[in-house]
Amino acid sequence: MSQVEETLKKEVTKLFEEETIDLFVGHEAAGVPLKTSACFLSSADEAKRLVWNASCATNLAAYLPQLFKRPGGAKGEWTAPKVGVVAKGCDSRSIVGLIKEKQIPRDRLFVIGVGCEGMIDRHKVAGALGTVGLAKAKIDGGSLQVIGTDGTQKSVELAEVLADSCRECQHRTAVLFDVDLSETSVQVPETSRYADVAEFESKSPDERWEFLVSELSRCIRCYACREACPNCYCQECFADETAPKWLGVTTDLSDVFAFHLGRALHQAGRCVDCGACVAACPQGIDLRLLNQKINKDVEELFGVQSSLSLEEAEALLCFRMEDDQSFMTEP
Amino acid sequence: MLEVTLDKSRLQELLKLLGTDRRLVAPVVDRLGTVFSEITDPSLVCLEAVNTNLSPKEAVFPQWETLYTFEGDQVDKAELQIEETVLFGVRPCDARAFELLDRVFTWDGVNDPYYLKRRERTLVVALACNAPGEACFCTSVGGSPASEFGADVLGFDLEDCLLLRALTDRGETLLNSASSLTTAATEEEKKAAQNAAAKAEKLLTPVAVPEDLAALKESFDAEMWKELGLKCLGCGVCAYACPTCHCFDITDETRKGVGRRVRSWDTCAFSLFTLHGSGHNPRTTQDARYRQRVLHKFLYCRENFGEAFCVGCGRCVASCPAGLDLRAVLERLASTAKVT
Repeated sequence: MSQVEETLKKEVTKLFEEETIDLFVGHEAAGVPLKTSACFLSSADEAKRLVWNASCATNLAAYLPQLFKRPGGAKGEWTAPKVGVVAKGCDSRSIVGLIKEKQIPRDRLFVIGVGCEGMIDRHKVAGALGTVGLAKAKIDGGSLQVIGTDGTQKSVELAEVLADSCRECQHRTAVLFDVDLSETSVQVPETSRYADVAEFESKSPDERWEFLVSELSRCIRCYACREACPNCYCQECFADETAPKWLGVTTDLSDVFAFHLGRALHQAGRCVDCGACVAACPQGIDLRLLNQKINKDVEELFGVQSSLSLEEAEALLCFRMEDDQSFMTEP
Repeated sequence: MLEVTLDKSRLQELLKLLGTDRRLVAPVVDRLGTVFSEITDPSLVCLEAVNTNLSPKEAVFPQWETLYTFEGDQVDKAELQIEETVLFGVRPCDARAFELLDRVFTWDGVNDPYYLKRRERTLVVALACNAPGEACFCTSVGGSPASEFGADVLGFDLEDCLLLRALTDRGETLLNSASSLTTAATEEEKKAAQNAAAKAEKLLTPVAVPEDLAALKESFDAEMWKELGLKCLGCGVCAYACPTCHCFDITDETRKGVGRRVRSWDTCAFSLFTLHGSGHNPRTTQDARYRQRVLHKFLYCRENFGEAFCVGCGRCVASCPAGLDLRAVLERLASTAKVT
């Protein structure tokens, strides 16, 4: 057990004992290696279920809005629960975004910040194993030891199987917290934040089109990307609307593009590049690229990254006289 | 029962022959493991694929299809054109799923012509498993690594050769058409096939599956669904990866009076699934939706078809973005008569 995991359990136990929180949202082990599951604890003795390791990729912020919704059938006065949550850098940015968009109340939230050195992308591990499944995995310093279902053993560099978002991440500790458990050793890598986008931008329009087609034609319309995304909290998603119906139900490119481009545009100035959509996609689609391209555009146009603090105005939620107006053309 | 042996050096020739005048669909290596794909180059076919990323149900029950087109009140029900297809390298769990799907699409004397036509024109060459996949539990739900249900031919991978056993008349005809490439299986080879299957069976971890239907019925109001519902993200990964999930939606796509009626996969995990035209939704919360998925498979299907609609492929476990584990849910439902 890591030091952070141990401290986390103690902290959560204390929060319950002192009645600071009614509910805690964290990660617990799931049935297959390198996967965890969100867990919802309601007492101190459940704190032992918590885990903290490189497979806690789930962005827990996505689970928060539902906890503050007045339950159907509740009569009279209803008080939202006090909810504790463990947050790595990206989770905390999503929490900031959700607070600003008034989906979760700051005063009913207790955030435990943790430092993060990057999360393992299970798809990359699956790719490295090839045709066999993953039976066991163990992190050993800078490498990951994996055993396949046929008994084959492999050692892969941990850095090789980290999620793309984690490789370029510049916010490895929580930007909003009530308690911070991050260790001083958490280093921000010296990588360009938009290396992947820059490579995409350097391609010709035909090549870009080809890339998008090859990625999006894998889509099976399961909406795992949407459901795993903290920003996708709409009561009724445009993709689900039936009157009018904005897009068809098929996996034809036109329908798939309409969904993914629509979703990407709804993320403009809001995406924190947590990689939850990529991790959730059962088809291994590079869903990050579109969002990162928009993130880059927003940063270049408005000079801000999304959801870094409760105070700073979000690029697309305010008007400033100095905002770039070059997009305007004569009628 | 016809049993023949094919030397693996002649596999390419067999695949070429199977693909002559037919569509050949088989597993190939993909970025996340393996997927079923239409084969134009037989050298790409991957015999080692255990559980492909998605199940091969798409071959008989496509993700979406046009049922018919219309213009005004004129309906054009063109004859469904389905190419004859050989599905090669289907694992026994997935083949068994076809047998279960057959029951749904012929339920109560109502035959689904779209499904049945595809099914009739699809030959299933299954391949017994020598090792389990990531979350396999077929033996706990009535299957086995060498189950014969739903397939026309069952193959056994014996290192240097494949033993191919005909299970249906169509399978026998298929093997006879390739007789120039095969030899009659020897007793030793038959024994080796049996041993391989027995060995694979031992490698599986058993899962306790709830058998008491009355207790399952009682679980409807159990508290356990609440936490599972909180965890469940409400996406369609489990249902779309599942070889037996068969729910669909029907939509009309119309523009200026001209349109088509489309059938597409749907799932009980979506809130839209049960939304009525009135705005009322009988399953308002995700716990009710998640419960529906589990109870449909393990209670309602048993009541309707006499069998649970789960073949133990484990895809829902391996691919769930929320880390939900059906095996653990089943163990929980099976462990006490009164589930909490």
